[in-house]
Amino acid sequence: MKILQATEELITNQEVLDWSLNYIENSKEHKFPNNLKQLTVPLTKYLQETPAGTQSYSSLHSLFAQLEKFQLTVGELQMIANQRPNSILQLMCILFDCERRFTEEEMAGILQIIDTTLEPSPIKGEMDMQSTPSSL
Amino acid sequence: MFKLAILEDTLRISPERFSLPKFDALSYTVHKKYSNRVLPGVGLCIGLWDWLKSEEDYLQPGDGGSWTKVTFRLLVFEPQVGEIIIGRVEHSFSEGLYVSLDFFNNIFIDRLALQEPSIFDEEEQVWIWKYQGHDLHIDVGEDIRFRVVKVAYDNFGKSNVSTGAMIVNGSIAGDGLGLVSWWPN
Repeated sequence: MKILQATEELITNQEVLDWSLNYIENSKEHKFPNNLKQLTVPLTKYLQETPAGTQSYSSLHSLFAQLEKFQLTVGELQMIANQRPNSILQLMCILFDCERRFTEEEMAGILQIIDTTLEPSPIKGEMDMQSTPSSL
Repeated sequence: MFKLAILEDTLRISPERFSLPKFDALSYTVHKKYSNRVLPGVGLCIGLWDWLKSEEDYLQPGDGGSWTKVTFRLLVFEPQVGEIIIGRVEHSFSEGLYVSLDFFNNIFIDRLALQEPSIFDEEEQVWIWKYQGHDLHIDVGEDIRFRVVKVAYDNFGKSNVSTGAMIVNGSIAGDGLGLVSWWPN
């Protein structure tokens, strides 16, 4: 066995969830070994409770297209898709050297794009900007 | 968190699977060999993503199975250093705490990588962040946001795909990190 490339491409949680659900669907017709079955069940459960649980391929495509002008790294784009940050604080955790690279307006711009392109997150304990009362 | 790795391997199709379409049988072999196992330097293998190349099948003397050399992409879980991940607090003890991601549990946050100052309550077996006069408990079962600090591979025997461990070290020392409930918007 040879490892030709340990890291060829990064894959978002949404794509993995899609893949995992596909396997569970196919396992009704085809036989799969136990080690795969044992993995896809908790993997699906975990991913469904992250923002990926409500995302689609088209919303991610839209997100990445609109974020292009900010020149974020592949890793940062992945984290934005996977974590769906909805505050400046969360954005600062994800973006390297955030305060030096972006002004407050630009950070607000990034959050706005995230909020308009991605579906609301299923994470409990977090409030989306969309659910903020309109009186505020 | 997830990535694709390109592997080349010679896979065996056992005789009882000869009636299946060739690539279904080869998929079964890939999953049997790699799924839910750690490949050192690569990560926790999830499953087959796609095929890139395959060569001719051949038989070996004394073996009823058929062998094929293939190149394929494997879906792998390997946290990247610096990445932010949300997991669930699984277990606390005096040296730190363990975090679980349902499908992967080997994530350790050292006591020195907690918010400062944090103390361990021996009686309740819980870590507490003493923040501005408040006692913020890190209870088991709570969602916790951490940063990946290190990924290491350990405990491998002679075979290079085995049940050896991938150990992830995380940190919650920083703004926005720790229990998700600590940082409402």
